[in-house]
Amino acid sequence: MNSVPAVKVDHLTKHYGAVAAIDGVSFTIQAGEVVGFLGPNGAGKSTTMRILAGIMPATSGRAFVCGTSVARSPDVTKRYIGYMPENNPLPDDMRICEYLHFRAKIKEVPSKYIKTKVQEVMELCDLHHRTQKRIIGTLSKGYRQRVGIADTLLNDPKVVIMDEPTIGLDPHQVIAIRRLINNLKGRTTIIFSSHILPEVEASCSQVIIINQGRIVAQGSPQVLQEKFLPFTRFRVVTHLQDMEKVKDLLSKNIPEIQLCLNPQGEAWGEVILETEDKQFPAERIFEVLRVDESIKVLEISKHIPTLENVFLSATKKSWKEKTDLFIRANTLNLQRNTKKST
Amino acid sequence: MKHFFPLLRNELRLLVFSPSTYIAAVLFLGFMGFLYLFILQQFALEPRESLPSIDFMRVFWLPVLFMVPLLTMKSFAEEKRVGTLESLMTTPINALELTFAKFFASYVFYMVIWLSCFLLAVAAYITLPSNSVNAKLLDFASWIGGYSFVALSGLLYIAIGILTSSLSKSQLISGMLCFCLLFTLIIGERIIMEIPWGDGIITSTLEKLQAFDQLEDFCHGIVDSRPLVLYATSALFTLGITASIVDSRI
Repeated sequence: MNSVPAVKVDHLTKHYGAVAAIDGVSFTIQAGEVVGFLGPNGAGKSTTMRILAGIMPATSGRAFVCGTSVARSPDVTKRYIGYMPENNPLPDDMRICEYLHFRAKIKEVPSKYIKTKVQEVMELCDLHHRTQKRIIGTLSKGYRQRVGIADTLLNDPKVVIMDEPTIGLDPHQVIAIRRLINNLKGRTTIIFSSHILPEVEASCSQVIIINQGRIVAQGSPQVLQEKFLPFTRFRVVTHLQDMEKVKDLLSKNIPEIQLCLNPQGEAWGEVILETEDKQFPAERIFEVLRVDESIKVLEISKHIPTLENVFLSATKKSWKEKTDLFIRANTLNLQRNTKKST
Repeated sequence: MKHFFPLLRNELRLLVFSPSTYIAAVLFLGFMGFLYLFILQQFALEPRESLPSIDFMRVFWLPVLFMVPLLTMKSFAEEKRVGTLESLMTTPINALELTFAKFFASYVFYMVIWLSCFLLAVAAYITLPSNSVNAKLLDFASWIGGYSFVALSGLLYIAIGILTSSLSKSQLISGMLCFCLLFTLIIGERIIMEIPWGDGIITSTLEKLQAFDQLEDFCHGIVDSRPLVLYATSALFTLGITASIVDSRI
């Protein structure tokens, strides 16, 4: 097995004037992995991807693609990478096949293989038949994204980087792109950023969550769930008048759980149970509630945390840390200024 | 430079499909057509010492001021605005190859449009009755001299257009900047010459830089190597700056 990681980023920092777009970002991606890059707008995802693609220098830190330094040998790393920028800019006045032929030439695909390669990527991205002759300017957003993805695959890249490949697509198109990414799984290393969390959850073996220029979470979706949501949650739906009774019963009989009432409208509400015991049996809730026959339970369900919950939890945590730091720094400044003035 | 030819072909294709190319060509040919007609009328009215082709070439600066910005303003500015420059630079090409490809594509069109002006002389030669003036219409020596100067100075003018296009995302701003720089370079030099500098090095240097004097020399068969070096090196220097701007401002 090849031991050189496909991508290695070490304390990467990029400053735009006084503002740090990314600050000490480090991660390693092994060959063949599909990695999802998550983060709110302005978190630094695109900056990291652009540095990896070799079109923007980092202020400090190192980035390697297949063991080669991006800063020292951008010409070499560009041959390893297939990059699709955010919004996928394409020349509107070219035909799909013309554009892909041109891109294959400048990506140094050997002349005798260009035709075959272009045909191959068009088939893979479902752009063959009559579509290939269409002018790019007349294509729908979904087809444009496919052209962008086809372009990234032309030179058989070892690493494919896609910045928001599913942005602005309808659900059908999102599924098509997901299928395409799944087709590429194992053949090449894929890094893509997305706001659609189920999308990342469905395709990625590793997730990197970035917020305010720093990595706040990294690992497989399962590992992240355990790290950021280390509890089991149940939901008991009942009539509004029974909510207090349910709460009393449960807190008396299962003291290790935490409870929260959540009225929903005028007729019914939900009681949320939270426990750190991952193996907590749902039967216990049934047994406890069965004691009082006057309570009418409409639903009992186990809440399965999604990547969305993990993302919210991770980014909220980092926001809170930053805000706390900011408040602490401001308080210290205020104290120092008061001392000076007195 | 192994990516140069695919890039050049693509740039030529882009220029062929660009409306601003045709606007530049129509404006240029229309204007030059009227100008040539006017020159011929002047020749018909009174005898003149110079040839129609030399008089025609003397106004080279006027179409250059409009045609060069129209031909070059799109090259980098539009790619920057749309974002295709970014995806182009993620491939193994380098900024110098791209700059040279854009430069040569615009230069080819610039020369094609200029050379098509020769058709005006051919048309006049065919349609006008044969006499002594008619024979001078196709005086090849003056045409070749004039075109040599246009080709040589065009290197720098187009390079300036490409440079200004790399400075902005707006075609309009790039075009206006190019116009201003060309105006300063061609007309400004002449205005500066009006200032009494004395007989020192400034005057002699400014005299050497005069595009109008160089044109006269070329049209009369005097081919000096100094303008050759001046235009070639300054064009290369300008293109070098452009490449570094493109590299640093993606």
